[in-house]
Amino acid sequence: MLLAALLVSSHLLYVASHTTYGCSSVEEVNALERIRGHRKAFNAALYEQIFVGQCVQIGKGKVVEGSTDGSRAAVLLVDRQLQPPGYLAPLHDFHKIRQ
Amino acid sequence: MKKPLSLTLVALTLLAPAIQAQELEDLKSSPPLVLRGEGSFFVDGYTQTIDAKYISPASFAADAGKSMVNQMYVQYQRPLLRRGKHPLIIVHGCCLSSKSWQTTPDGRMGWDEYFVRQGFDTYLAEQVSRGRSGFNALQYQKVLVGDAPASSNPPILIATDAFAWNVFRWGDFATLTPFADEQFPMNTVGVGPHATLTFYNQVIPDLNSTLPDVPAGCADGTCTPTDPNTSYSTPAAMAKLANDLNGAILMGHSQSSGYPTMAALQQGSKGVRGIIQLETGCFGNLTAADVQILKKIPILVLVADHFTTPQPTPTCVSEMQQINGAGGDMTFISLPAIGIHGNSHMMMLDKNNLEVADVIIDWIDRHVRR
Repeated sequence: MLLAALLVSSHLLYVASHTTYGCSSVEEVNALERIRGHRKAFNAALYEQIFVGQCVQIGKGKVVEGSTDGSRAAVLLVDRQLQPPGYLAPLHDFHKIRQ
Repeated sequence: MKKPLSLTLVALTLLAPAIQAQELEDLKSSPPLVLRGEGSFFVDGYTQTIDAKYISPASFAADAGKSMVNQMYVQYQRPLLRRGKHPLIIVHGCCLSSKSWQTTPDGRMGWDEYFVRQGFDTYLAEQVSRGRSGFNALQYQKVLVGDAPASSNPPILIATDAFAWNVFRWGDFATLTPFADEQFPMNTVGVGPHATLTFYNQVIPDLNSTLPDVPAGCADGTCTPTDPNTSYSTPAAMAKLANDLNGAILMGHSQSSGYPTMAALQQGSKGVRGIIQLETGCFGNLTAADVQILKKIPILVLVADHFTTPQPTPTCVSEMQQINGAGGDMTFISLPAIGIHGNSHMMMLDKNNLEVADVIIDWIDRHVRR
């Protein structure tokens, strides 16, 4: 537990480089990332996940509070403080703007 | 001039559902209902200043000022004879409104009335940015006057009939063939005798993408985007309402199925006494601190029939292991597994909707401390 806490970095502000998404579990993120290259299938799957509340859309340019941890390097935990428990999102879709 | 027969037939085919749409005529009578209170109110949103250039039409520019946005509309009924201590706060899913819980599209009693008749103070909350709740239109005005590119407008979710057939699990949309045991009143989506399109009356655009990820004034990244006193989202507003009611059971469906948990985890939240998630809403990203909060709140996950993927989902399984492993009380109920078959994603409108409501009431009686 202590190790997990140490691995959690401080919360920063990120901005979405383009329209992306966040989900309630890493399994959902992984499933969507696997089909991301197939735009039609990806959009259909994401739309369904948004519809049933497992994911949300994050628009291009949206500022979010984010944090990363060592165990899930490719994932950004978005809005953990603001909308607990927050959403897990693909880290590569965001860039850091300030601490 | 005489019309070709084929054209006339096409016109009649398209018009038939509209002609037969008769929500008012379909209403079933119900016995008198004795209340000790009924009304409506808003959970506060926040005000934002609207510059003159964003006022339409321009002739009203002198009226520039402050505007309230993202307030949450709530209507309630309190029965004379109460059952238990805690009221119910109920929130609808995507592309829908509180109408989901009211009279069914074929005129039968909805869950709002049924829960009241069963003795629950019942609060129907409309998601922030939906129905009678407020939303923030300023971004669209900025695009209108050229201050922001059109591409910056948040998308609006529009649910079609094809999408409803697939996600609500009614059957095969291509052939409009429902499942043999389908419980949804399929005549209200244009299938079978006395077909209408009355269900689609309650499907409305979803503006959730207009909600800010940060409270007003923080979107430029110049302030800390954490203000526990700012209700800007449905879970935050639900948490505030549960606090104000000195405790409530929160129920969400589909898109909002995770909202009760999110409300319980809001900073300052202390009023969530029970969580009911209709059709998933599980979390695979809970911290140990989250689990410490949630283990004190009974949680029910209820799913209906005709899933093509195994239930419970892996995310629900892992959350149950987390919560129950910490001494909590998280229950998963699959309706087919307890002998109730044919229910759709829209179980609150299905022909056996009151039987499904009784499953929930039974769980409340057994699990939520009075």
